[in-house]
Amino acid sequence: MAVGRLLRDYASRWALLRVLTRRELVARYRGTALGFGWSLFQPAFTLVVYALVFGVFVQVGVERYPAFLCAGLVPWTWFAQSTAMGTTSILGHAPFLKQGSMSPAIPPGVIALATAVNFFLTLPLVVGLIWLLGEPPGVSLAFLPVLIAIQGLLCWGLALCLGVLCVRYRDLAQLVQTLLPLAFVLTPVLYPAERVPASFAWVLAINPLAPLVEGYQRAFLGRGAPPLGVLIPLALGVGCVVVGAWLSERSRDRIAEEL
Amino acid sequence: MNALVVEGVSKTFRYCPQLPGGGSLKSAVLAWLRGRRTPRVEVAALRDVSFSVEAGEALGVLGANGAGKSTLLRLVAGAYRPDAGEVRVAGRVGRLLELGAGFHPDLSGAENAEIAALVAGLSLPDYRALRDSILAFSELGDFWTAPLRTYSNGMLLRLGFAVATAIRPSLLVVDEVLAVGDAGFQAKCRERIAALRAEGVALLVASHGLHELEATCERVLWLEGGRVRALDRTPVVLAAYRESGP
Repeated sequence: MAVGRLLRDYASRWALLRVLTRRELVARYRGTALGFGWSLFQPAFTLVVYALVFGVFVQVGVERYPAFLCAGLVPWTWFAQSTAMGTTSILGHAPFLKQGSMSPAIPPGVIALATAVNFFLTLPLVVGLIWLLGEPPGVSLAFLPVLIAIQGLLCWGLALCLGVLCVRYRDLAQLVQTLLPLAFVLTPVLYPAERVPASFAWVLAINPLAPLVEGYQRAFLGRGAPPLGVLIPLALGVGCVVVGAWLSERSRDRIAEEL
Repeated sequence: MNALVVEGVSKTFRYCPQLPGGGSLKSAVLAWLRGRRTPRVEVAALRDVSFSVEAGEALGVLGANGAGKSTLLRLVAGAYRPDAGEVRVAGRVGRLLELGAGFHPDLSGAENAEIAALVAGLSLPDYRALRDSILAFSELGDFWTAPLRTYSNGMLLRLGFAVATAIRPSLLVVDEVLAVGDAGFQAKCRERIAALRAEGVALLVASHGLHELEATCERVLWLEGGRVRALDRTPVVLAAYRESGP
């Protein structure tokens, strides 16, 4: 089966996945004065901007709003980065694929890994910052591994599907970049899910990212277990990996000539 | 023993002529709605090509631009799959298909060499064991730890060649790139190729340089319009090629 072949590809080329992931992480900030600090400074600055707009100028009316914002914004940033970079991952690794010694499933895996590593590196700082902003860490943090596992699967599956499809349909890269901000405002990151009017509740109900982000907010802010709805992104993640494995398997023979 | 067998190989490329990149989402959706496929143009790049290369032998590939040389080399490297026929390689392939392919300009030669070796199929311990010999052969010295954007073309070739030959291939596939090295390094490349061939490594090299082919190859395959025009000992093929030329 395609998924089995995919996992064997990854297992047999684990060392390659690791060096390509490091390449991805190292190369992005090489030569800049702040270096890896940029991957902390950028989201931190975004946090300040949104906190200023929705916590001070226009008040959303959430207690300790910056902490709430931080709890949702950091996982969202991981998702957005992984999806945008995952879409162009195979195109970006074209020179390697044209050598004929690498499976097309490797680059989406590299992006999923690199963005996950990025998230893990910021995680302790996020917990510290949320504490600083008035929400001390509690036992709810124990639910984080579940949420991270679900999101990792979803990011990986989406990167696989979009990465393979983008080789033939180059418009996808632009389309994803265009749609991500829409997905951002339709996901309860800037506002709590309860504040959405009942007549629009269906928007959150069909958004697979909504329960995931809510789960993070509960975990970081000491509000207990994630909503049952996280089973939706889980199912979607599994589905995307299965479809992505099939797509990459099917594209394997022709991908080098389409790049 | 044969290091490479190519049997009745044909390869056709299809592309949508009206748009770069083979078509957009919109045109694909529209075509699907109208119930017809987007028009495709087919180009037969290789037609019924057969040959074999023995262990330790060097085969040159000659032909005009567009004759199918690069397609043939990519098929042998495993990047393309033949539409018909079969490509059989015994063991690992060392590839020098493009200068600095996949090298990252902001990473050092050392980092890029590690990535290139692992992409080519080497394990990490194997790479570490070979690292010093790659550094020594590439003659990069202090540039080994400098970012690749500071490299000259010759240095890129030296690094690529050092990695491609260090991975213990049973077949080395080289596409046109050797010409950018200076005379000294070209001589060194020839020496290394001769040493590898003495160990049984086969060589498949595409080139327009008739002197290079004369100096390195026992036999030459002459491609014309995707077909084998001639396959014989180097002097015979080169004589025919020179005669046919303008």
